[in-house]
Formats: sequence, structure tokens, C-alpha cells
Amino acid sequence: MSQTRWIPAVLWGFLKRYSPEWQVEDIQAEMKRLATSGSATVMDEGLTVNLKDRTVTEFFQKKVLLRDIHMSIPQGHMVLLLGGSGAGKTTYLNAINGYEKAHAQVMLNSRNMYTQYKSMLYEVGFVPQSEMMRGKDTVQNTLLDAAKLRLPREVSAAQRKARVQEVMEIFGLQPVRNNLVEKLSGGQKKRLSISMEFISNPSLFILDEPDSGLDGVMARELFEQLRKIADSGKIVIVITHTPDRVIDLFDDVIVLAKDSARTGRLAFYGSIGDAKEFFHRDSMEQIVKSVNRKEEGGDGLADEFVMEYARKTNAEVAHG
Amino acid sequence: MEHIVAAILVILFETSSPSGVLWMLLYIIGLWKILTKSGLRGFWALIPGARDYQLARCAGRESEGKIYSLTGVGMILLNLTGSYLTRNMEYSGLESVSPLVIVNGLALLMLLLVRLIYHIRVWSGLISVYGVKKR
Repeated sequence: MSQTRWIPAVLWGFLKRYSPEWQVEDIQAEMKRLATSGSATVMDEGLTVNLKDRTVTEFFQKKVLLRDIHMSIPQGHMVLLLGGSGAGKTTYLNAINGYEKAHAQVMLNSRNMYTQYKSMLYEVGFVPQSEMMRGKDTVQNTLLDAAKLRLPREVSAAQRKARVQEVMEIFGLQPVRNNLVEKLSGGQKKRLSISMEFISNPSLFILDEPDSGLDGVMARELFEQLRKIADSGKIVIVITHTPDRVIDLFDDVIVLAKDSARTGRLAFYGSIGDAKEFFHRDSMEQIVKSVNRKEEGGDGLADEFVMEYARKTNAEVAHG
Repeated sequence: MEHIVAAILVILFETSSPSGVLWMLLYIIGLWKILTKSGLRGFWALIPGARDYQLARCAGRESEGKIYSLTGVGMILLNLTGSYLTRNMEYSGLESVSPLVIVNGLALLMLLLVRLIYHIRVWSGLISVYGVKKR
């Protein structure tokens, strides 16, 4: 190693035609400077996130997983959460729902998610990627159990049952209410999984890859269902790796990207049309590719877009 | 005295052989310029261990850089203990190789393998930052 490495070191070091694509200090100083400004104004109705950072300590060293994410999502919006692997999508969702607290202020309908966490626990519905249900239970019993867990104690058994019927009606589970969970199709299981969280009628609904394992038709049906939930005045945030087949159903997109310091940053938040214009890409998959690192098969433009978006939002804040 | 000079050379240049020191000097000079080009301070090239970490930062491989630099420091330490043990063995007139020397050698070999993996990772990152795009 030591006998040959001096050759590229001397060549790259001394020849002027070799220049690094970016500078370590420059880019980090610039990003830090850009990070200090801008914050979202708290909305009376909707979700406002002002996240300064989310850190973990690993091997005695502080590691920043997410930094400077500010946004306001109005009620009734269905939002797509995009980002390559390791960009911090799940970390971000956990920070929003208060499961893993960040250095942040998260306001849902003017209430602080962090300080009023216990009372707001069922204001947020989180549907994980993998279904956590007992296969030997019927659909109805699964939902009744979920209702017992998620509805306040003062709700009577009759009211719980009525709510379960209502939710089964909404998600088209009435015909299979007496079927065992293990006998359900993939799409039905997903709908049941979502129904379990929907029991408490949350204002914010978060779904982590609800369409995994579903074909195009079933995925579309599911997302149309989510669109209806959003139209009823809820905020729906969805992570999906195949967004383009259902992109017409979304209002906004959040793009998270891993910068050169391996920190998850906000590369864009806005409407789908604005996102395509901002990234100069025609599809969501191309947008993800543009911010992914080169070694992951992407274009490696995360830093550029993060800085461009920060400049854009800072300019908007400056101009009121 | 000779041993002390050799130890100092190992600490500073990771080797005590004259040709190795020459290659390392050239590497340090080139590395100084690379660090400067990447916006870092060149003097890091002089500091064993730190030079590996700073190089990894230039390559955008900061997390790998920590282990890469630790393996560098580990190799220096094992080289030093290795030469100390061998010298002790020579002084005490032992004809068979001491078990400690074998353990030290094996540890050095294992560390070398780990270092090689991180070396490839860091340098492949550096190739994508420096080697491909020419301006």
C-alpha cells in the first residue's frame, strides 16, 4: 500500500487538472450557515415541524441523523415522503410522532406533540411496513381489540363496536369481517392494518410503505382510500418506493437527502409540480436518483439540492 | 540509539526501511497538497493516524476514516511491539520464536487485512472525488 500510494497522492495533489468535486470545509461551513436561518410558522390547523436536529451518540461521538427540517403541512393534504435508503425517512417520522424525540418543535393543530405527548398519543396513527396482527383472530375481533387499546376508557363497548363497524365500512372489510386474518389477501391485510390505526380517528396518519407486496391495481385502490382519508381533513404522510404509479393522488412531496456529512437534510418540500421543476426531473423515481449518492447508483447531487432549497426558502423568508 | 531512531521512523513514517521512508515522504508531500485542495489544513498529513482520517474526509468517507486511522495507529503500535519483542529475544539468546512474537505477528496480519479493506473503501471514494472528474 505504502509503496504505491504516493503516486496518485502526488499526481492528484500537484497536477492542477485534478480538482476535488467539492471541498470538505467549504461545503460543511456553507451548509451550517444555510441551516441557521428559516423556520416554519405554526399553523392553527395542520402540522408544523421545526426540527433543529436529531442526534445519537455512537462510540462516544455525536452523530447528526437529521438537521434543519422546517415545514408546515395543511390539513387535508396527502404528502409523499421521498428519500434514498439511509436518508432518515423513518427517523423523521419517528421524530414527528414523538416516538424518538428530536431537538424540535412539532405542533399538530396548535398542540405540541412533545410536551402533550400522552394526551396526543392517538392523534397520530402510524402504520408500520410489516403488519403486526394475530393470524388466528378474525378481522372483527382484531379491530375490537385495537379499539380497546386505542379508544379512551370512557368509550362504551357499544360505541366501540359501532366505531369498528364504521371503520370496516370505510375500508371495505365488512364482507370479510368473520374471516381469519391469516386467510386475507395482501391488500386486505394492509387495509386491516390501516383500519387498526384509523380506529382512533387520528388527525395525522403516517404510513411506512403501505403498498409493499401489492400489485399496481391493489396499490392504487389503497392509495385512493388514503386520498379519501386526506379529503376528510386529515394529514396523510406516506413513504413508498413506487410513487409514480399513484403520484396524481398526492398534494405535496417531502424529499430527504443524505448530505456529504451523512446527515439527513430537507432537499425539498412543496407540490408535486414544483418538485419536478425544482429538480428538473419528470418523475419521483428520477428525483430520488438525483439525490442518492453515486455509490448507491444515484447522481450524487444531494448537497447541491439541499443548498439550493435552503437558499430558496431563505430568500422567501427574507421577502416575507 | 539505532533502535530509538527506528522506532521514531516507524511512528512518523509507518516504516523504518530507507526506501519505505522515501515513499512515505513522497506520499506525505502529495497528501499535504490533496488536503489543501480539499479545503483542509495540510499539516494533518504529518500526523500519523490523523492523516488517514483527513484523507477519508476528502473522499467523503468519514465514517470509514475512523477505522482506517485506527488501523494505521494499531499497525504502528504492533510494529513497535514486534521490533521490541524480537530485539528482546535476540538479547536473551533464545533460539526458538517466542509465542508473544507469533501473537504479535498474527495480530499485525489481521490488522493489515482490515486496513486493506478500509484502504480500498477510502481510496475508491477518493477516485470518485479526484480521479474521474478533471477540470
